[in-house]
Amino acid sequence: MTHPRKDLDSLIHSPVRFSLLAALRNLEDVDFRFLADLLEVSDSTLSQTLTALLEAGLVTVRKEPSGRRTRTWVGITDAGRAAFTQHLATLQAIVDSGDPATTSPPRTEKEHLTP
Amino acid sequence: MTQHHISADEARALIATNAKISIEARRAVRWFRWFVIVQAFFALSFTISLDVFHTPYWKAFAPMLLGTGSIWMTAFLHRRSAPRDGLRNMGIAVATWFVLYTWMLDPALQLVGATSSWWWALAGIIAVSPILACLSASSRR
Repeated sequence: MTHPRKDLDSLIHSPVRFSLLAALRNLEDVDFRFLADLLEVSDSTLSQTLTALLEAGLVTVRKEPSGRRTRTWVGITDAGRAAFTQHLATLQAIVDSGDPATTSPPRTEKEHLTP
Repeated sequence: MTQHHISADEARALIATNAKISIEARRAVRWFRWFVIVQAFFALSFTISLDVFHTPYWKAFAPMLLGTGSIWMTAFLHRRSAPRDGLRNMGIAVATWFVLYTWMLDPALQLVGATSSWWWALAGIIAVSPILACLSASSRR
């Protein structure tokens, strides 16, 4: 039987990515700036985070013209929702097991991107 | 390869972070639901006060206009946290409500000589339904 920590997704495990998916899971498509304010991160940090999650197919990013500006809408995909739910379940399993610190690696980003 | 040292306490902290962010995210967008409900209330109050309680038109229209203007200004200030197409759809819904009631349902009930207040109340509820539909997330897809 494998330890639940091995199911942790390293792509999601980063604090900003984790927070981003936690927020998006509860929202419809949201404005980029609103998301930056909510998570208290800079535009560039959010942009980099979104790029990583977008490449993994966990979020959607749509740009729409709004007056003279472009508005960016961010949403979570079904895959993103499922991955985050799985990640949370794994964390809960670790809490339930009450296991002390461990050094085993979670799934890598490369593994995550592989279908 | 990334190595994670995750203890039960750290996992518990992450779960708590998720709960906190979830609450904050939901709280930040909750206003839109109330915006829709209050707009529907203003619209229904207007038609019922006009045709059920026979309030003079401007005495019914002015408070509705004032209330609607106030909530739209508030919504505009919070537009960044509005759902995608939420405000646009609400604008269309309010216009639909007005046209539906004043140009279609109200003249139709007068034409058939409806006397019961229930018909007017029902017409008001039907007319306000496009506004209430904006509560549904599927209306924005």
